[in-house]
Amino acid sequence: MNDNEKYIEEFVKDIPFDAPDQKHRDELKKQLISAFPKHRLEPTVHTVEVWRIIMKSKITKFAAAAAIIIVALIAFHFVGNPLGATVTFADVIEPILNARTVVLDLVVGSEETGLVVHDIIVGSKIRRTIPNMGIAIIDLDNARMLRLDPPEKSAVYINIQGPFQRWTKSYLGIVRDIVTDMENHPEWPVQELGQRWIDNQRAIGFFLSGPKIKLTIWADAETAAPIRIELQMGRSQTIIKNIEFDVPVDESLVSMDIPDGYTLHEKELDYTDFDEQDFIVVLQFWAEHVLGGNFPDNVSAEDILKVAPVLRQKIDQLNISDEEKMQIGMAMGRGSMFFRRLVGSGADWHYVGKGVEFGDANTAVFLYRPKDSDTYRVIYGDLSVKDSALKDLPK
Amino acid sequence: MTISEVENTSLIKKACSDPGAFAQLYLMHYDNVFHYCMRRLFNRHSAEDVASTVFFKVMHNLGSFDGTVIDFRSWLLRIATNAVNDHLRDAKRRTDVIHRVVTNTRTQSVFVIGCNEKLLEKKALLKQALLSLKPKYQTVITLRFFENMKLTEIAACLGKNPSTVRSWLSRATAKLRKKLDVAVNSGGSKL
Repeated sequence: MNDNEKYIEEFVKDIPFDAPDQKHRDELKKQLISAFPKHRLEPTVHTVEVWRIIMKSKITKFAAAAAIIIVALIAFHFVGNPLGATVTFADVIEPILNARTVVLDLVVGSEETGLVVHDIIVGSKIRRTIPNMGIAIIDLDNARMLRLDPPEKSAVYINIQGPFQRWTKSYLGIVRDIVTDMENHPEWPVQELGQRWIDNQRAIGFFLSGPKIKLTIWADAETAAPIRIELQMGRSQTIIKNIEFDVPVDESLVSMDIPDGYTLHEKELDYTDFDEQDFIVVLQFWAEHVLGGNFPDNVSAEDILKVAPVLRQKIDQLNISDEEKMQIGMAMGRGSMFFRRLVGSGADWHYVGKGVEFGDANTAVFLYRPKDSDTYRVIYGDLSVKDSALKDLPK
Repeated sequence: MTISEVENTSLIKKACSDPGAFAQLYLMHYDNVFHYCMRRLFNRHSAEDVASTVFFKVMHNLGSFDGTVIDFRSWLLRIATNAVNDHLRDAKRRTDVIHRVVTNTRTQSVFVIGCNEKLLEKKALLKQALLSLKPKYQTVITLRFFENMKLTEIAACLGKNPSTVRSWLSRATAKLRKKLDVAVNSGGSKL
């Protein structure tokens, strides 16, 4: 504490102030209670062990194949709920499970800083628009993607069989899988979160969690239509908002045909296989060409999505052939897939490259333990890779 | 968190939908909010008006509060700070406040218990000096010296960096001391 602070502390010591007036306190209390929002006079939190009931039910044996039966079971449970919420979890997930067309915005990462992706979903096809990255039309049934680059008027088909196919599915599909999969997890309770205002709509919330998954669905308290879905998978956070279900959609938007005026790249790209070396290409290019020789402060799925347009721009600026540019771009795409698989697998991984210079052979930037491995893979600043036991990991 | 803190956090959640729980929460915090408003505005009626505004805001926004009871005090004081600053922002109202202070400096309130003439004079000088500062400086002075909050707590309450708050506090205390020195030496006539 400096002299000024001591002076003021001494000055204000013992100065008297009016005490609260009991009458005002009581009068204000009455005013507040009489003005208490009526719509909030509902139970806020109660845990519903829906799945335990499902598992005990004889109907369970018929339920495995059809999500709609899950809906019916949940509805059955909630109808009998003496607390009497008007919007049930079953109502809320019904459009998620059954809508054929959905239009939504997807925020990858936090609401303030995350990347916003726009999806138009029609059955098993998705038209995904990513800022500065063009448009991807994804045909999940046939494991194929058509990538469109509007400024260049170029198009390329990409083979997405394998893990990429699974990960490319709509996030709503992931939510659908979680909700459906809950049938097998009676230990995942559904919690009603009560009501709050979301995007100027009175919303009712439901929360469920499983290992490394937290799912919150906010739905319109009147219509039960989901208006906001928050999905936390491991360290990755995704928010789905501005959702419209079963809206009329021009199906040509999800056509896999090359649009008029576009030139098709003759070679189909292949994302079916990827490994650690691809991820190293991402780290190298990021450090060398984006950050002037330093590794990034952080690496997460959100960070990679955010830097992707910059990486692409830097590749375009290289004085190499288009074919070589394509190869680098492909390697980085596969590297992103490698990282995504690593994150999704629940493996133990750590990015420690903050402050490390590219070329530093003595300092680790990334380490992870592959599935079923007793040792860690450690990637150093010079991009060399060594195996290391837990006890020998760099500090 | 202690058991008591857990219970209070539970009370906050319950207060979103249960008027009885909200009333309980209100009674727990009314005095603190009133004291804070009183020390910022130096006028009982203004302090009661602003305290009322604060609790109505709390009632309507409690659903958006997702912290613990430890954060709740900061959240409450942030709402109170905004409400007080809104109240002071109106230049005419501010002039009125200062006018009332100047013309009413030595009137002892019936609610003030056991104080002497010398302390009332000090209070009058403090009122004039403090209210002539910018609202942000008034805020940090009040939070630091009346609410006894640490820099980090003030920063959390105001949503600012501790370094910013440190800078504000340094300027605020220097300005306030200068004004108080002048006032003390001139008998309160030069502020």
